[in-house]
Amino acid sequence: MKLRQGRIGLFAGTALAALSLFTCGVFSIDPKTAYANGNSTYLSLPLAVIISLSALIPAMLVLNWKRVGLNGLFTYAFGKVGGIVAAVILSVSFVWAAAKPMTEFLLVLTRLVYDGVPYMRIVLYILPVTVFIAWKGFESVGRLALIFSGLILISVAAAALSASPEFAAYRLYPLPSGNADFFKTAFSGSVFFLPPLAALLVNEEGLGGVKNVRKTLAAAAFISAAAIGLVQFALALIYPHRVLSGLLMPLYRINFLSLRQSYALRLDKLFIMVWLLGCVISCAYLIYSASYLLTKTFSARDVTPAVLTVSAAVFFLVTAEFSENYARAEAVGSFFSRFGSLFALIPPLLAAAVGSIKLKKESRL
Amino acid sequence: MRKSIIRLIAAVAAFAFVLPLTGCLQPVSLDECGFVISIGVDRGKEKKFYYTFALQRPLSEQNVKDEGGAIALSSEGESIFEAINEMEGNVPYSLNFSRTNFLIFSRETAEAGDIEELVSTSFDALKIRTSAVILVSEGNASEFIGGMYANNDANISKLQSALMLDEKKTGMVTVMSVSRLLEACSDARFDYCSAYGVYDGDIVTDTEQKKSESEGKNPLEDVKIGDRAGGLKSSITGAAIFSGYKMTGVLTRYETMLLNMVTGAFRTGVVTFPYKDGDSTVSVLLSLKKRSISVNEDLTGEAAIMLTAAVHEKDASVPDDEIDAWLTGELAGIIADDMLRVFLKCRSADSDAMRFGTGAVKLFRSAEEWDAFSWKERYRDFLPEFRVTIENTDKYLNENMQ
Repeated sequence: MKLRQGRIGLFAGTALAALSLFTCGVFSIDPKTAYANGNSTYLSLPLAVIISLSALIPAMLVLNWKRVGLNGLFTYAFGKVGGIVAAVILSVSFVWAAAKPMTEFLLVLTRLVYDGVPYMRIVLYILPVTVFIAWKGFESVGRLALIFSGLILISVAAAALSASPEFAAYRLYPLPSGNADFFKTAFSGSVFFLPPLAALLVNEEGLGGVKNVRKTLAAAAFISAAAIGLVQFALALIYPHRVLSGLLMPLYRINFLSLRQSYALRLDKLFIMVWLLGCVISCAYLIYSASYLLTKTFSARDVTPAVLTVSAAVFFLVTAEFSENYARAEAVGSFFSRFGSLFALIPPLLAAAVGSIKLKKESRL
Repeated sequence: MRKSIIRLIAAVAAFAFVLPLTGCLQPVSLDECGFVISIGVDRGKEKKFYYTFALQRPLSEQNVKDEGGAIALSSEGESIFEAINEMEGNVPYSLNFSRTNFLIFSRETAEAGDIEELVSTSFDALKIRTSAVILVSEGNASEFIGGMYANNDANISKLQSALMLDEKKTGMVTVMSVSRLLEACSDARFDYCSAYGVYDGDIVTDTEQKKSESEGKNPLEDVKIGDRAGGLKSSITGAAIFSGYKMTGVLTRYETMLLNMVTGAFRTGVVTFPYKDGDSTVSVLLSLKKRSISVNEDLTGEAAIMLTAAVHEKDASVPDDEIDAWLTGELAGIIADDMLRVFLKCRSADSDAMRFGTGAVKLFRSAEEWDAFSWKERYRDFLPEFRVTIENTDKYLNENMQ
């Protein structure tokens, strides 16, 4: 069997999931909808992380009793065909969560960093590396995340701190009022947080069992919620919501209000390359997780074909923005922004519900 | 032994294979780029605009004392892209805007609102950082740019930081990036103000003085009493205030200082005031200690400014025992009255340069309520009170001295 899962510990697992959550939370949000009526992302996105974590608790509880892995739970709950359908639906959400932040980075590199370099060239520069890392397997991805997570955290902190002299409280106003928009952002934000968390459930064996998955999920969720909240708060102190709604990757430009001719002003390009590392690792993690889920569901013995298939899907999504399929890509993007969280939410929740009913029946018998 | 040799060869081969895979996307040699540090925009004669680009000289040439720090290129065009295309056909490099720090507009283009055209469409395409600073020139921007680099100072970074230094030391200059302009125009919580400058061709620069000296002439021969000698031909004389993207008024350096006090941008500066309407004067070092603004629903408000003051120089006729009372009483009143005068000037120019909108927004609970309030229109009826308190730091120093 060439499933390439390996084994990683709590720290590597936490680093991997937290990095993926952070990348999705900071670099994937749709600015037009997130900042349409004020800026509540520093509260609503951390809430979205907690909501996503809570949504996976039922599946974790069932897996604690029925130790078959998430793909096994799908088969147990829905049967062979139903299990395949559930796995495919969940994989689609992984693909989306992999492609979205990658697309954002590629857009920034094309428009703001590289002069006159075509988008496709940058895609071909970065995506093959991502696919290779995904193909190397869960253990490789996890260890990479552990190595680079510190550097990524430091670079984000340095970017935010270098902009701190320009922080102004008036940009936070009007303050979030807990209205319908606030909860809408919190629920729709879970489209980017459910896949990285659900991927940990998929890789349960690689983490050493459900007990370790539980600890990793909790640690990654709380660490990333805090980090996302702080970064979004820093952005809210630098840019008012109206400016944020039209800005591509505001974190990259966070210190552009600063006029002091210091090294901090020139670190933006270095930082974006560091953050790109995080995005590559997150993308590889989600590609591998989708591939592993599909491989186990179809009872295949080698994860390579699934990695290639999932990578092709990610490649298609990433290049759709810059092709004649642009209008369709926008429509798909708009659909996923509103309903995408259901793709990651329904399969494990429903499987947990059906699975727990079946378990109760079996225990009575 | 054989296995380890094979492993070693395989490792070296892998390293040799991987090494060429690293590198840059579309690498460009430095001398193929001309780094534009300033862009000037004037009305064109035959086309819409006349653009001036000040380029940094290559590093190797910057050590040569007789060479200036910048190269100036100019071209007309309906847009900046047309001007760039025209220019790049005539120079052996391509223009690179990643180091552009200044955008200088002539008063004519600034008052017509032409800043919007450059800022809204060109920045990302030209990769100009939004940390670039906007300046408005009384006359032609091209002349102003020429005056900035006419001192033959090869150290460009000194010239660029002169504006920031002026702001820090005197507090009579306002320096704001394009990011602030975009924020002001998209969010309508305040209005932008930029540094305002003039070009004076009669100033005898340091380089001209050096040249006269080396020729055995009096370096100040052409300088008349009352003229400024030395330094740059282009200088900052105050601030240009905006309403949205259009320039609508000008403030003097003293008025700019008062504006900076209210916005909180003021740090420290020395001002000479007349003492009690007489012929005596007192030079006072002022520093901003605390500042707050508030806006009420009935369109009244308050700006509370706390300053510290130290007397740097006073005429002999000014009594020592009255100076403390004058600083904390009369001078505070003078400054408050002058702030109100500057506010009324800004309001008549439809410019919320003092940023009272940033206080008004705190009254609202949602973005829809704030948008419906329409601060830009309500501002015309807004009248705040200015309350200035001054703390005499000299008094405490003197009391502690033995």
